[in-house]
Amino acid sequence: MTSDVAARQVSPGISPREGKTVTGRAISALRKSRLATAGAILVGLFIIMAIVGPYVAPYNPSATSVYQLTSPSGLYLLGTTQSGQDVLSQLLSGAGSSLELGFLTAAFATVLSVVVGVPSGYFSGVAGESLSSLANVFLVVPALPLIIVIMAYLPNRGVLTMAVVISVTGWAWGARQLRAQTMSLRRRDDIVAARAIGEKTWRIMFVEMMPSLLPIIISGFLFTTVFAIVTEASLAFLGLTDVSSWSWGTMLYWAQNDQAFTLGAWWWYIPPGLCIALVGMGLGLINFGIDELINPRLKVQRNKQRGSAR
Amino acid sequence: MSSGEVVLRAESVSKTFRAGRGFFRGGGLHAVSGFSLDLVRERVVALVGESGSGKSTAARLLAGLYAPTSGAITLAGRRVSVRAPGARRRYASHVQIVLQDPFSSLNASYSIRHHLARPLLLHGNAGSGKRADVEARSAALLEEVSLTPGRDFLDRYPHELSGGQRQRVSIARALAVRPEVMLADEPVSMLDVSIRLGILRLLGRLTAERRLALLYITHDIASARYFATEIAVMYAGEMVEYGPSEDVTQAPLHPYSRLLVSTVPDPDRAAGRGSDTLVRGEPPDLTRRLAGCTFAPRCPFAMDRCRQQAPPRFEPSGGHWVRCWLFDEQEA
Repeated sequence: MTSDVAARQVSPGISPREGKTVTGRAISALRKSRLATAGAILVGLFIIMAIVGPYVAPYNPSATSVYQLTSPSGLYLLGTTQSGQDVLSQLLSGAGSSLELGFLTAAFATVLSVVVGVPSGYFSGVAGESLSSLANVFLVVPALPLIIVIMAYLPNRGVLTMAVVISVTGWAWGARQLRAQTMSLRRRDDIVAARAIGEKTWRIMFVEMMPSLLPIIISGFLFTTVFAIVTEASLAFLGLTDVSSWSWGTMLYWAQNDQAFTLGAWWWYIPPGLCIALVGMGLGLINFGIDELINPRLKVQRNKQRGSAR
Repeated sequence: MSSGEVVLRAESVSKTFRAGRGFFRGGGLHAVSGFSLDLVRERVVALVGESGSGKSTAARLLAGLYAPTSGAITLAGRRVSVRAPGARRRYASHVQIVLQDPFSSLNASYSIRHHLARPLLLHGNAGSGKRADVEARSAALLEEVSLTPGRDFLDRYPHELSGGQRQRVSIARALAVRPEVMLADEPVSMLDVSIRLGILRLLGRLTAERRLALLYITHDIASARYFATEIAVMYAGEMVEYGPSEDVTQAPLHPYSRLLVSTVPDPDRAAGRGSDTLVRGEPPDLTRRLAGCTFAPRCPFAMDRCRQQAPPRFEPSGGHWVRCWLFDEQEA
């Protein structure tokens, strides 16, 4: 990192092609962050697992066999369930729906939080205040009990339905953060200057401010993904999702239902739990990397660069 | 006021900012009160005052970035409202502002091309609007502010330019709109002393070439004397003195203007005349409205009357007025 700064100081006129824009600099800074790299590799592995999992699964995850509750062996790498189903095959097949739900929910929630949060910070007066109140109401709604109640009444409990329900209860925190950031950006000189040339309001919010909002949006997206995966697991564990389809949550449901813990079948409940924890860790590590990026210490370095260009 | 085409006129414009919010709302901060000023084509007016005197708020009111709490701004004789976005854009095509800090007034994420293309496209000054047209016009604007060759700067990013270069880009962005009025809010205060003159000369040249009405805001009364034809002195949100720049700088009337002028080293003025008698008291509290003159608490010549009654304008000589009881001829 120091060498990079030094290189730019040597040739302030000639700019390195990489990392010219804020987004470019952000990506190259993220690449240099070991935490973010580790997180990205971890999440990447799980995404690959989710995509190829169903094809490389050695057995049909729902197929029963006579080998009931066997511990990990050459034949069944992660052992079997009480009804003789292969745990590894369930893990591989379940990855897809868990991650799909996580990312889908995060996408919905992110769109909601941007659409509500940014204008609520940009507009002063009634418009901003009412959008902010809307976010506050959703923020204090107890998410899990509400989701449980809604899920109990829904006839269709597919991934899409669940994503909508979870995102509706999970977008408000991101909206609050975006509101706070937008309120401070609004007074920044470059945004004032954009208003002064008569720039359109939506372009100020979504073009001029976007590079500065992006780290918060991405961080909110990753946070919501973890929230959704954990929420899905909790719901599945309580039997509120479609337990006939495979996800890490339904694996835990069946494990609990068939008393895996009392039977000592650790190979049944540890793998799905560990997978959830590792995905959460990977996404969290990427978030740490983004935090490093927003951290004032990094900004100090950028200011030094700026000072040398003066 | 002497002849000339008045482009922008402010008539007793005031701006009060709410202090605190909602239930705990205070009385408000009177940033600018009773501000009246004419900006004339091809003329430079300087607005001088210390930090917090309301200079920048006045500029932002004139730029339409704030809506005035009371008073009227008229553009070519027509009253202006800037509350609706469409009206704001129409107003922006006549009146432009150059902000103080060139290091923060350009968006770091976008190239110079973006900064010039947006105003060109927004105000229909981009010809056909095609990329080549926009590029040619952007390059021409950069050359107009002496960034040559213009094309070489288009794909640069703000952090690759020096402070002076950035301020030139900021000026070019304002010109892209083809304004009639340019408000320069301390355009050189953040720059190295060595490049200040270049920027001021550029603004002077543009005033003549583009037939602009220019408002030059500064806390440096010496540069105002060099640059402006008229000087207005602000204190605590009010204009206290106005007149031809030579008169105001060589024979200041208001005690506050005298204080400002006395802080500038000037070889023409007799040395040894102490100015320390003038410097006392605290900066004004803008959340409280005084019954009398705003400068009375700091003024060495304050009389009882000054604390009770706000002084009106007195005009001891033509075109040079002051808001101070010392110049009340009926009294004297």
